[in-house]
Amino acid sequence: MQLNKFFKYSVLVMGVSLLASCKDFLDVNVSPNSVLDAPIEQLLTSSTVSVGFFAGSDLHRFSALLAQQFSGQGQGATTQNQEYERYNIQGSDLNNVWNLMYSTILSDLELVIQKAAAENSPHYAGVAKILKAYTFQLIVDAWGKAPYTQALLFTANTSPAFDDGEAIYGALERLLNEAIVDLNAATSVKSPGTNSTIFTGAYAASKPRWEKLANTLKLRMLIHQSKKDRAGTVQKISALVGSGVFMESNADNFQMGFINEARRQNPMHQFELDRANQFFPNATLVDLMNVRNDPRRTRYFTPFPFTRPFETATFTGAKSGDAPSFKYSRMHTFLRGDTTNANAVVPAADGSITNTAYTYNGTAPVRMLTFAEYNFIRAEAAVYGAPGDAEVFFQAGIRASMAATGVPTAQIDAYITSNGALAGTDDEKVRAIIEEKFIANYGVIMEGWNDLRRTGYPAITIPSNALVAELPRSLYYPQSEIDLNANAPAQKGGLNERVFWDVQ
Amino acid sequence: MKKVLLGLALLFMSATLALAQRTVTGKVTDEQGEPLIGATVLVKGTTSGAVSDVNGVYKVNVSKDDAILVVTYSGFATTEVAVGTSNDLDITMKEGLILQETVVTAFGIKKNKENLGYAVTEISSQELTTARVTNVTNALAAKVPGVRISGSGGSFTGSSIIIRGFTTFTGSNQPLFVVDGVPIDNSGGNTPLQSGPALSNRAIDLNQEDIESLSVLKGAAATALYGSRAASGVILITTKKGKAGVKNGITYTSNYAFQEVNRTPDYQNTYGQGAGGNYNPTAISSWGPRIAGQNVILPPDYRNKLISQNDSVALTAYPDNVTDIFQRGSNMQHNLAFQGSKDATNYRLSLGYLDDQGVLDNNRLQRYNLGFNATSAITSKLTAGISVNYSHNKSARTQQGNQLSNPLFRAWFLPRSLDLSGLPYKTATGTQLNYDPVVDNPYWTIEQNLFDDLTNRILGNFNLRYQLLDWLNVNYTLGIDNYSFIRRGYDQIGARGGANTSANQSGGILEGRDLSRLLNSNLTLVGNRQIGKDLDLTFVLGHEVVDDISTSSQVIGRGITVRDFRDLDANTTTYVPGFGISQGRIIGAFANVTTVYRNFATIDLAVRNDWNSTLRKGNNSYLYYSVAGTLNLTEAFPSIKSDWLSLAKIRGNYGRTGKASERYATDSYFGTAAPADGFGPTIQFPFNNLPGFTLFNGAGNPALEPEFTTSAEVGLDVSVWKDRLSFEITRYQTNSTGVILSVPNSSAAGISSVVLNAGSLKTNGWEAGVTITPIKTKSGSWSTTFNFTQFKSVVEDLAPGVQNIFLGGFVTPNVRLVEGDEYGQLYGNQYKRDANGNLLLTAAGLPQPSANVAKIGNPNPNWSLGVNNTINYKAITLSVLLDIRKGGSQYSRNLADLHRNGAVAETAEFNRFNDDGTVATPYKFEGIFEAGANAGQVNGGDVEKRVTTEQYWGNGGRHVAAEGFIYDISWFRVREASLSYNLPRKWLDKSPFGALEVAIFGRNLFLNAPNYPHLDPEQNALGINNAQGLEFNALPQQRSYGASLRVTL
Repeated sequence: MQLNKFFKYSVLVMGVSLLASCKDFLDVNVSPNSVLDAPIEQLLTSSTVSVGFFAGSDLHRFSALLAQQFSGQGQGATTQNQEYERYNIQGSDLNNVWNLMYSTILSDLELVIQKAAAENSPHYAGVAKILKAYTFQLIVDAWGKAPYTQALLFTANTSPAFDDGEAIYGALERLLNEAIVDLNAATSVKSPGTNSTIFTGAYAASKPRWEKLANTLKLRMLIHQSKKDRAGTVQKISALVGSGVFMESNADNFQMGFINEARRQNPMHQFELDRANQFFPNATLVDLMNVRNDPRRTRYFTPFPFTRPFETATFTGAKSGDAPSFKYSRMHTFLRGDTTNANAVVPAADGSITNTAYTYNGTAPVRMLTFAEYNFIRAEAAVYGAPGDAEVFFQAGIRASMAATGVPTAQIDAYITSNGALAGTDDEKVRAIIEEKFIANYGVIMEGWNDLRRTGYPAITIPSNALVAELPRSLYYPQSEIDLNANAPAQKGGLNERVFWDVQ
Repeated sequence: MKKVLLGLALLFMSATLALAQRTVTGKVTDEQGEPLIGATVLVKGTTSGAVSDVNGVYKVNVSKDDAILVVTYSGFATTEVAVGTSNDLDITMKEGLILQETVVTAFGIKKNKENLGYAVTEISSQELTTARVTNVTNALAAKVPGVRISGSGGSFTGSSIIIRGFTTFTGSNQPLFVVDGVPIDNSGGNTPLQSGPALSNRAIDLNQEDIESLSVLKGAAATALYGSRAASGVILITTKKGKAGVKNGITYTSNYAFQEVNRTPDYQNTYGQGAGGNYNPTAISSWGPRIAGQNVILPPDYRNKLISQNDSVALTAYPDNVTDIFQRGSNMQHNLAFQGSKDATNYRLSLGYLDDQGVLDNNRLQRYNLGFNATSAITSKLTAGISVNYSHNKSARTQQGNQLSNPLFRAWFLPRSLDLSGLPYKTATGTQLNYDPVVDNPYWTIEQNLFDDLTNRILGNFNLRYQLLDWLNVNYTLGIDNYSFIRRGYDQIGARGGANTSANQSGGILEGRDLSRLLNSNLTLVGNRQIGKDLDLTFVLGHEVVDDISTSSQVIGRGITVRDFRDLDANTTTYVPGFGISQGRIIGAFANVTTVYRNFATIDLAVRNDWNSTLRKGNNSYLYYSVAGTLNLTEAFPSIKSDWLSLAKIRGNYGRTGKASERYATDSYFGTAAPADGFGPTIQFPFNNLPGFTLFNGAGNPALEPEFTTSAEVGLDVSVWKDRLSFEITRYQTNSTGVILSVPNSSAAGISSVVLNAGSLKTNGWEAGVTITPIKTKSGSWSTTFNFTQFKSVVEDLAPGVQNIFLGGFVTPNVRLVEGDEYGQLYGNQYKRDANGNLLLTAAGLPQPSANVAKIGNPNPNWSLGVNNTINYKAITLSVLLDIRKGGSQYSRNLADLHRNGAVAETAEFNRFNDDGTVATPYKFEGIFEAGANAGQVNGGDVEKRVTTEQYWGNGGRHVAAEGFIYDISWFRVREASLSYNLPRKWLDKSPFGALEVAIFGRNLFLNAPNYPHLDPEQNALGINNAQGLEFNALPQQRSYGASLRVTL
């Protein structure tokens, strides 16, 4: 009986204690692993890293394959890069790119802008708006139409309508103007500092660089429109160069550096390790440089066949439709970072080396808009009638690119002597400028393809195995957008649909 | 207060009565008067009882005159006999296969199967251990109508269990496992797509030898009492226990089996490594020259490294170069159990050891089980019990998935002239050597890229039962499932694939520690009362509290300095830690009333309400219910009962179960950013010592409500011809609405999905169990059971504006939910065709891929059938389980690879070379040229374009579209077979043994898959994931055969 009693009381006590604790018992559904809100500083860090990473990832490969700066190769299975190079890029291939742009980069930038307004930190808003404008510029150049005015409203609108590319360009120009005002605000509770991985360091030092970037970005967007409205472009560029500050040296380059730790390295270098023998310098680019005996080749590429010294070696690019092989030059220190075992590399008998023959530190920056490009834009604009001497800017562009590559001054001078003159018709001048810009923009996302669509230079040969024998003029809308966004336009009929600045 | 007093008065009375004991004895016989040995005689409502001896004689103590003895014996109808005043009571038992069969239902409540309004399948210990598999879930294959088991290859990877179709979209469709009334964790079993090994589902910790029976509860009526977690069915396991009245005994079982790859491809051995008819020592394919002993150069890695210093070899075929990679594995088990009872206490103590060595080296699982349970009648009213099962489960596993470190990534199609096993795979310093500079050498990655895990788990419960009144008792069970899971990975320097740590060849170490604790408290009040003469009423009132918390911690270190030194902090240079906690709680209250009228009509009502922590207040309380009924025609109208018809019963039920969301789905969160390329590159934060936060792409939804699944079921149970033929047939329909789903949206919104109550899913199905006993004599019998399963789950609605949802896979192929179509369809590239279905060919006469992906296959089988034959002759028992599956398709990456690389026999069907040595063009794609000079013309006649074998099967030929490698997986297999012999009792009489059984057994002994060449179709790339129908590079399905011994003392 004692036991029975004990049991009865136990049940009673258990029951009572259960009822008493019931009230809070179920309140365990706030994740202990994540936060409901994040500080503006760390949102900006993830944004700048994502922007830099993105510019060396998927969309860089798509655009560099189309522009023929790179070539897709592969052994065994056909690699996706081989397909992309022959213009077999489908909507579903672009889901990841679109997702990374909108719901990783732009969503965080949008939150930085919102928080900056709420916390009275306009300096943050300025930086975020420039990065937002940069990202949207890539979107317009790649797809033409895209969600802008209804985008980034989160759960409030999960099917944003698409805006016209030209309207977005206009909005981006206004956004950049706002950004410059924000950057120069007299008071800002917080200012970006070492938490920005682009133009890192104290705000006092980085602010002018952000402002120069904002103006240079406007310049880039204007030159994109030169074919559509040359007079207007010249007029606007003239006005802009009269009022704004611009990049003045390679120190102003819009780029992001990486560090020598696994999964924190330059994404192009990471890709080489993850997907060996798939992505090689294209013959179009390599041959253009071979003709000029370009000294940048020793940093851009490894020789094939592999010999030392590089200065006297031969460089061989790949092209679409070649038999599967990796007997080509490979990307080198300019994109992958310094090597630690340069002298230890021994080629195979056929002169090839493997993707891991060199140990790179992976710290090369991803370059997004450089001082060299600024000069080439100015040179081209000058040819069209904008202020400045085209040849002076042309040579400055070459010098900037070579200096950033690490070419010694004597070799730069020699190169300028043989290749620095800008002569002939306007078209011949533009061709010379764009060819040099194409070389300088090795590793820069989108611009090679943009210039090719805009000017037709450098002259390329459509791959023999191309799906359609015509250079793609824009990308398909991502399949996810077609599937999930009721307000998305119908999928494009082909890759021949042009973006607004790419006129016949 | 009056009631309490009454209760106390009754307590006194019963305590007094308990003292008046007497002994009843008698003989248990069959209808022919033969003694039945080992029949269990229990005093109803108590734990005291006895087992009949060799003469059929039993002896039990009873305490009151109205005691009832319950006698059970395998193959005979359970018999209840009132004791009355006599002390001598002989009992005659009637043979019967399904008569009076009791099954275990929700909360361990045993119910008479005859009165059940829903289908429950119970599997005995014997059926579970026929083929001595390592993972208990695999032992269910083909044994349960309405259940589909899909193994994913290997000995101890995950196995998916789908009961009566799919009930939810992206959440788990796996059933709840309940052991002795306590829900346990059966997580795990997903196979990663790009890195790491395939892990086991945690039911693998259970030792089948400790399982007395396993009940499969299907449908809402059977599972409603278990609440939210049981929406996909329940696997109810009852462990073996000491039996009241059974003398102390020892049982020892042991087995040893060999394991082999079930099916290996039929290779060609005519053509060597290379492409275009030319030898290439680094090629991965066999499109090289005819093998004729010609001198060829070795792959670069091997030059100057062989002792001979000879860099060239004679081109030779190596027919076994793939099978050499595999080995003959083994499965060894030893189990020792002590059981018995003394006074009012029963106990069982068991020890188990299992050692499973798979068909690839470094795939090994060792499991130690220690179980103890005891039940004691502390007073005549109070019974207390405890059960503790400890398991120590450790395993080593090789890499899986679509990654270069998977030893099978390119191994199935090794170049036919490559002597991989004869060539070294590493240098003296451990650097790998391989013919192919891109992928890891299979031998090297098996040896050097390591993964092992260790699970220490305690499953236990403490239970009390108090007999309040002779018709009413109260039960309390506190159950705990507590385990730690330790994961360790080591990626060697130079590993080319992602392996465990994606260290980009720098080497890496993974250390993971997960802890899981599931606490379950339930209190039930169970009553059984006869009301008048005709009505029998059973009711259950219950309360359940669940608290489930798990923590995971992991550190990945990269950049190894010293080879083979597996210490993360000392030997790696960069670290990525990851920690997480996950907690969910549920409070449930339930009631169940079963009314049986005159033992022929039953109404069973169940209702339960859950309060679930994963939903916001206001939405977190939800009620569901079920009603089930039976009408036993043969009992109701005894006139129809005859020698021919012994049972005819109709049953039906309708019920609804609710399910809450996953945890933490009601809010949107920020966390560490991790931007990723679609091809591998990624950035891990902190970056340069800077943390980075991002808004997660999946948005939460505070307004989430529970999803509900309603189900309706009707069935018919008939037994004829003296029970020689009995069948139960069931038709059911389930309908899930408001399915909780992370609905993808335009990522231009800044988020890429929002959790919503969206969509609905409907399943229609048939299931049937038929048992035929064509022969039944005194010395032997033959019976066959058919288990038929057919169901079709259709996605009726997805979220508004959403046409399909990605479940898993690649850009092409992948598995999707598509509105209006069956669950989980295969999507991928098709061949480009014109409106009339003609192939559109390139100018070279080759097919082309369609621009967009389209449906290319349906992985769901049309039906499946298990046929279990048991033949007894005297002491010999032969048991053969056939597993037949019709329909269902699978995309086979392995078959695609075997063909496009020219490795299998059909790629040498035609001579690849003409007499003059040029490459022959034996194939032609039928179709119309789309481009080129002959555009619009049919391939043939003057404009015929013939292609080479390499072009036909290669990357530009059949391989261009995933459609080309969809195969029908229909199969007929001998799933299990065993032949056992029980030594005659007379031989054992003078030995210490009570019984001795020897057996030989096998699993997957025969396979016929008429539409699936070269490999065993039972493969699944994603393990127990909802996405089924993709196969690539997974561990192969195995065949095993061996012998076993069972001894009781």
